[in-house]
Amino acid sequence: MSPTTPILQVQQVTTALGTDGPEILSGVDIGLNSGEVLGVVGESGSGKSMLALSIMGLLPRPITVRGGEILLQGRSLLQLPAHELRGLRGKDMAMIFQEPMTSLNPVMRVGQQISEVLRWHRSMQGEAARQEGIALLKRVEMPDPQRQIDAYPHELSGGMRQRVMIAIALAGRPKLLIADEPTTALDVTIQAQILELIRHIQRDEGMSVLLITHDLGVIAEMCDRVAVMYAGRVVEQGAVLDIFDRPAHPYTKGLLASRPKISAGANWLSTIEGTVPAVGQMGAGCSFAPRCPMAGPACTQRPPLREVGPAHQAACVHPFASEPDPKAQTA
Amino acid sequence: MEHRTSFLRRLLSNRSFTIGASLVGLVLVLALLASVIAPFDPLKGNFRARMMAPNWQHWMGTDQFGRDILSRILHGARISLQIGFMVAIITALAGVLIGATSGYFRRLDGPLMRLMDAFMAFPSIILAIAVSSVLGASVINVIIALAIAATPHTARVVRASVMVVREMEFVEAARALGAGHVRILLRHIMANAMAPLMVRITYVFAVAILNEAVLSFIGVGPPPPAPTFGAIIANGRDFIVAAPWITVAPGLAILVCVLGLNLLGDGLRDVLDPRMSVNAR
Repeated sequence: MSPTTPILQVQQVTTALGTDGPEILSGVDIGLNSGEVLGVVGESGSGKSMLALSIMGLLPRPITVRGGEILLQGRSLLQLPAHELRGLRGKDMAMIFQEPMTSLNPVMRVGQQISEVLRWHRSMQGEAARQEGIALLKRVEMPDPQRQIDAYPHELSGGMRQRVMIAIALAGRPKLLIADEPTTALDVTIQAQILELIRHIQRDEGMSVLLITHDLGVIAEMCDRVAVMYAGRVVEQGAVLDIFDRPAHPYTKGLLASRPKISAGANWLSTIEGTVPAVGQMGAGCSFAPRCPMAGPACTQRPPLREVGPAHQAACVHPFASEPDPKAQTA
Repeated sequence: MEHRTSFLRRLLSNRSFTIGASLVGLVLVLALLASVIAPFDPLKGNFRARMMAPNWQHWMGTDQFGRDILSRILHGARISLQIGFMVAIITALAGVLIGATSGYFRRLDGPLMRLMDAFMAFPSIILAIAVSSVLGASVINVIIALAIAATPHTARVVRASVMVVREMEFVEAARALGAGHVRILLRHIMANAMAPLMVRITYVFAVAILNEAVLSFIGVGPPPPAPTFGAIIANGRDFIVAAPWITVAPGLAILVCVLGLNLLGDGLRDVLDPRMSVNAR
């Protein structure tokens, strides 16, 4: 597979509460190439986790996908019957959750939980599964894997549990790993270790990673490309450097401006005024317009995602970096 | 292993569990050894020793046919415990089946729970009497009747704990790894929802012994001459003034069984869920 083959395509996906309730995701478009790390960033309630659950087919009732298409290696996930989709979960796509403290079954040993996946997806049993489990724990740099494979989750620390979660996710040899805020619940030093581990494994296995986070630092460290989400829509998408150096959407710019900077030495952090509109309270126009310093009469129409630079799109009527970078154009 | 040993240690350091378990254990051993230790044949009368008050030969006295009450109670304990145990097992299985199904599959929740409500609308003893008198009097029919009467509440308890565990993250994580419904329900949900069921089952066990006595007392229990607790009491009720030991002795036996099981259940509850403990240590 060439490095630019898309492994995951999310096309115009709209999810909503029930059949005629308000929309939660509105026409989300993202693509993930094989061997690439795509970051999805946005504040709470922007629909990041909903996007992950839509891809996995695990949307909680009564939320349903109302329109669009999700393709994993060219196969439409939304059309698949439930049992086939179940066969893909854990094998072709796996997911790591935010809370390592509660994502492991408290009454099963670590080894049993890894073996379950090995049995379902790789038909491994008994001693073979145990040895593979130990190998996976080694792979995630678990100290003393021979012993920890027989541990119960409550005997492990948060960081170690997240390593176990990653080992379980890797057990089916997925091509796509969805990590939903994998480090949010961990303390800072452990965060760095876990991120480095994910990065390592991603490079070694050539796995594609969809990394969901609200931490721009994590994005800068980990991702090749970024999609910025706001109120259920992708408002800007592009290469990490383009987004950080030439944000086109006022929301992205605001997000970047609200990071603490060592050089600035200011006493106050800049913030974005207001809050994300609640589900069902979004108007017809640009959903960021009420909070946007640039908002004008043209913003009452919903702006589509359009090119603002090479492989860089934003959904804004007045994007900042409208003039393309001369160097990038010649490249 | 560490997990398991600390659980045992906490169980053994719980006073109500140890007292309850000792009482139940004592009754169990006496019942199992009934045919060895019983001094007389529980069914054979002796007309020279009718209605004798407790003495050195007959520790608990004799009834109007001269049958030894102690021997009858020992053998009765066997039948009563058997009935209680079978009712507890059947109720647990049926309760898990119905409760887990309706707690997990939301679509089945309404119909199944309304059906359980219909059963619960009758007092359970009346329901047991009705079932038992329709099926006819036998040990097996009494077990069926009592299990039917105890199942709806048990299903409710299981359903409630399944609904709590169902929303936990590790269940979603298991689903994200490709686990099927049956696997999720048994390995991930039920394995974490057992505590309230275990406590409930000790209670069902105790109530089954009590209700069996009620059924025998009003004559829809196991047919005579089977010496169940209820049958011995029923037999003695005509002589309650002249020979109170005939009714008092089996009454005390019921008391010991039920008290033991309830203490055991209380202790189990405290250890399984420390937050529910009344006198936190």
